[in-house]
Amino acid sequence: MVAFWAVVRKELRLLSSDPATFVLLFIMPFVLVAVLSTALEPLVTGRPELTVSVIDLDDSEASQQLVTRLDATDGLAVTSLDWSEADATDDHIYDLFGDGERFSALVIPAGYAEGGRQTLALFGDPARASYVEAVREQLTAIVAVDELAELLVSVVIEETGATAAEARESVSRAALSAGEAAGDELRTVVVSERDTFPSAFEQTVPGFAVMFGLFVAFALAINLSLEKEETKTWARTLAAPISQPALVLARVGVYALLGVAQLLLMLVLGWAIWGMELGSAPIALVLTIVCWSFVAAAFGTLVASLLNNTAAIAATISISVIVFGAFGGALIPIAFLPDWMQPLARATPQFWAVDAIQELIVRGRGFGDVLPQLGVLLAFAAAFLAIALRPRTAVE
Amino acid sequence: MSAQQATSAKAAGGESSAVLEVSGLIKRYGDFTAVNAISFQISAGEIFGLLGPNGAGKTTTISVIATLLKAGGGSVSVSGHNARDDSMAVRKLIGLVPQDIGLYLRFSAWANLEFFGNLYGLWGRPLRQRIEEVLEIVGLTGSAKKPIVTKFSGGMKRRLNLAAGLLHKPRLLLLDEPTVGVDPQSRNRIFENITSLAKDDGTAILYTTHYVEEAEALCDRVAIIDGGEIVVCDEVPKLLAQMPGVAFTVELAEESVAFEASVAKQPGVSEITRVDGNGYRVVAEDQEQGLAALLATAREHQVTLAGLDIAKPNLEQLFLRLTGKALRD
Ligand SMILES: Nc1ncnc2c1ncn2[C@@H]1O[C@H](COP(=O)(O)OP(=O)(O)OP(=O)(O)O)[C@@H](O)[C@H]1O
Ligand SMILES: [Mg+2]
Repeated sequence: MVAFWAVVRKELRLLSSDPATFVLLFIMPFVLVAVLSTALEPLVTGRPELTVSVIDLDDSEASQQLVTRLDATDGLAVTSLDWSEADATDDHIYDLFGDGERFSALVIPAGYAEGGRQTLALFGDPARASYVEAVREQLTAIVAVDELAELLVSVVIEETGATAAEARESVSRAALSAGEAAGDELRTVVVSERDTFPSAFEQTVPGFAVMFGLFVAFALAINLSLEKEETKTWARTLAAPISQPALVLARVGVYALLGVAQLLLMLVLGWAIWGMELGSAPIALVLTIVCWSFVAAAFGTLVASLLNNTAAIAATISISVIVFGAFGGALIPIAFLPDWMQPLARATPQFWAVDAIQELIVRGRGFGDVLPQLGVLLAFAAAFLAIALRPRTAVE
Repeated sequence: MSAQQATSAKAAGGESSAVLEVSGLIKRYGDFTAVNAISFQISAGEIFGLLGPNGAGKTTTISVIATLLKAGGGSVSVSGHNARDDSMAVRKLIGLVPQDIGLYLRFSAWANLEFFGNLYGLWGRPLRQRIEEVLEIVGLTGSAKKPIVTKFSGGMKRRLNLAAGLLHKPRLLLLDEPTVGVDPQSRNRIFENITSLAKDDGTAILYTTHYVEEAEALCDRVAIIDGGEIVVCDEVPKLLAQMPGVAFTVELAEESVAFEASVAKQPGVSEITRVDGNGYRVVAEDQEQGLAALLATAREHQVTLAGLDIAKPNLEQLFLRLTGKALRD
């Protein structure tokens, strides 16, 4: 026991004289999380406003109506370009996209009034494929609704013998009241114990915090490897009567504690700076963080036990931060991952940690709801340590 | 253990008093055999030297004894505990002073000693007292609270390195070239203390070195190791007695053609070679016969001896004779 606490104190003493580890554990992750979360905010909270440049070569009643309809659509802004037929060459249109401000252009050709939607052409910047796709979906929906309305008008004329104007009037009135009725019924039902939708930061910070929480593994493994490489203190320690598990657990404990401090600091800063809510189960949140930090420290121990040079360890853990972060849904929300990747997520500890933190923060759940996740995390930590402590023949 | 007990334990000899028993120890690194079937024992109170050139296998042997490496064959036992099966018991009994500095350079000397003392279960007041004692032994009392060991000179680090192995009063002390880079004054002090650890406390000491002077001055018994094998192992005087004879260097005041041939014919002289000018190297079976032969020949040929040196046999020459190599390059 004296030896165990001696190792704990020694590790703390080593850390306190090592500013690099503090920068790595406390400043770097915070900067990364701040930058990434801010950058991702628009993506997470809603769609950015889509803009489409419209070149109306038809200049008919129908084409003007279409432009008005587009302009009136939420989330879609229209800039009309007053181009002649001769201007509207493909090359000229592509030139529009070079400046990084316009990404799509709709050409309404002469003859649209007669030819209908099949004549429309949407041009897009290939560098912004998803943006163009979103515009295309919007346009398709609007045009389809318009066509449906026209169809209804013709049916109304046929059935009632009303004039075209009357028929239009009644169809749009019907559509309006249907829309109102639908608006009444379609309340947004948030599947959460919370009464508000989570903010962008509440959604992204837990993932990043977990992802960069693996820096604890980095610090542990690198410091351990340096100790083995640079000094013979390691030989001296191994020749002393302290058991391997005590030696390993003391170190894991110290670094797990650092991990807890790191994650708590991150969440508290998130609360103070970005107004993140931290859920209603603080103890469960702290326990989740403790479990995750143990996993991270155990992972560092594992890597240090498998590789025996500092550069290889640094590379392995850096890659693990990103790869496991991505697979585990810490870097990118699980829902955005391709289908084949989603089942793999469960094989990473990151998934369970992010899941637990999201249950608590985003969905406002309590301790009982995250017990399974915590169990899985502890199992990961135990497995990592068991492999790290496997019996080996020659040491050093 | 008192000095008398230590001496009597040593005198008793035999299996029972051996603190360290190494038998048929083999250690391979891949295909390379670093230590090849070596055997030796060290009794309580005995200083045992392992003398050999770089790469002889000294550190490897110590590492196996210290349970840092597992033997590829043979066995090591410390006070009856097998190093392979009962490593924890062995670790409690040994103190290791590694060849390279095994210290936290960012800690103070005191913090280093505190940590290593803690590893052996020492703490509180007894530990503080013991730290004072070992600092006294290595002569670092004044420097213990210097903020960090990085600021120590090379020799001071070595002395602290030694101190860290003494804290728990080990029954077997493994010293791997502990005096490299230590100034003569501190070295003498360390020798005194090592001798006292053995003779007063009954500590068994394994001392590796490639300095013959150290081995001869400090050790009760010496094993000469080369290429992972023990070439010879015995008490120092007996080893020296194995040398074939005594070497003299003679310087004649004037040239004498007959001198060389005449000395060669004297009884007991095995060899005479001209070194340079009027100098000769003469090897005789023993010192008295050799001296008599030289003086008689000189008188007979009426030549004056300008210089006469008796080169005492040392382990360096023994090593050269046994391996055909110089101990130091
Ligand atoms: N980890 C290792 N892997 C491979 N070979 C090794 C290893 N450690 C030592 N050796 C080799 O084993 C041999 C014995 O090395 P060892 O360190 O025991 O020598 P030594 O007698 O202590 O030498 P020195 O006086 O230089 O300290 C050397 O040839 C060395 O190259
Ligand atoms: Mg060595």
